Amino acid sequence: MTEVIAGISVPDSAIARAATELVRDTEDDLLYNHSRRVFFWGALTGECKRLKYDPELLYLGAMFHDTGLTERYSSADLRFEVDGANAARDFMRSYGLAEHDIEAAWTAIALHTTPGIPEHMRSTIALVTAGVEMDVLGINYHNFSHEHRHEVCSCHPREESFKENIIDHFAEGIRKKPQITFGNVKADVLALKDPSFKRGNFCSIILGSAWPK
Amino acid sequence: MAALSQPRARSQPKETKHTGHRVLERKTDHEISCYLRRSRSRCLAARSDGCHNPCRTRAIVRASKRRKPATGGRGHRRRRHSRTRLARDAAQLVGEAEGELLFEHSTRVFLWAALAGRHKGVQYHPELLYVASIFHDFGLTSAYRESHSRFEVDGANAARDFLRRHGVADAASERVWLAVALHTTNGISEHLSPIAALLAKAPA
Repeated sequence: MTEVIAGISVPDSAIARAATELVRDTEDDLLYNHSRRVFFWGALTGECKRLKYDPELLYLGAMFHDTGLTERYSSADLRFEVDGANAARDFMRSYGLAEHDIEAAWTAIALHTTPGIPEHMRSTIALVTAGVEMDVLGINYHNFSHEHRHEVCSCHPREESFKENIIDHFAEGIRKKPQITFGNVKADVLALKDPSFKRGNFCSIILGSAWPK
Repeated sequence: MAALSQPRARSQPKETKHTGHRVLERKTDHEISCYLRRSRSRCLAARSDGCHNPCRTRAIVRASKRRKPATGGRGHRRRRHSRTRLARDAAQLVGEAEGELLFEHSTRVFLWAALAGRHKGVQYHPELLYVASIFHDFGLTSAYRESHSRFEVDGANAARDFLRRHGVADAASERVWLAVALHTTNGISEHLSPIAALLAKAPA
């Protein structure tokens, strides 16, 4: 039976069910519930803006978007977003999805922490980031009705201290590769959580480069 | 869509043997340095005769002058928008809006990216790389002072519009859009198209 939450139907295809199972087995409750909420916020945004989007693609993007934080999918030197994108790509290829759709999901996951770019791209990419930004940063929080927020969070709760704990999850997922944070939002995570972290500085690199002038 | 010729195509119109990109591929690092020293005067000279493509050598200019005007028929579009024409139009548009610092920087970015591509043995489309490079900082120009978008997105939109106006296929235009939009996003571009990877890694 199709699951419906806040008026949004959860995709019920074989690949969607397999994705749910895989993420359920790979991530803890916090990341799993967060990923599910990202799907609902993304889908509700799509409905609100009357965007044409592929719910299954959005679901896959949302469910895989933080898998790069887990030990199973984390690489030694790639951004965690790319690790998650690669995990989704491999998974989707194993189900024979079209490369065009795989590319969209890959890009949606790879860019979900890059502000100001995804909103100009195809709807799957824009909506994954919109969902993440709502759940983590509270962007457009007031554009969602109280009823929708309540219904989604009843099924997939934001646990006590979710705000602090998700920052901890980010830090844990990337602490072995601080170099991947240069120029992106995850530098703020390590600056908060790792006293030995030294933030890369764009202007210092320009001024200290090998160029004589 | 015939506006873009494929890189290393087996049969090409005779004049494309003398495109700026082909000439660049033959340049040694020393020649590139000499080129950069001369670039300012060349650029100004090029502007004075209406040609804004800094990659064009005298041989190319001669070749283009010999080229017959395009006529109608199936080959019309291809000839009208030949490789050098697209690059020249891009340089003209950007050159008129940007100051010398940004324009020369953008031209160097193309050269570094092209050299890196050659060094790594990456197959890329030189014309698309040129357009992406030359537009990559276009969003910093005064026309976008009031824009609320990221400057990378403004530049990407301008490059895409330019390519569409020149009849370039949507897929290729989108590749250029993404390369320009993400040129300041570390750790992502290298996993995208060759032009996105080469553009993001090109030093200033």
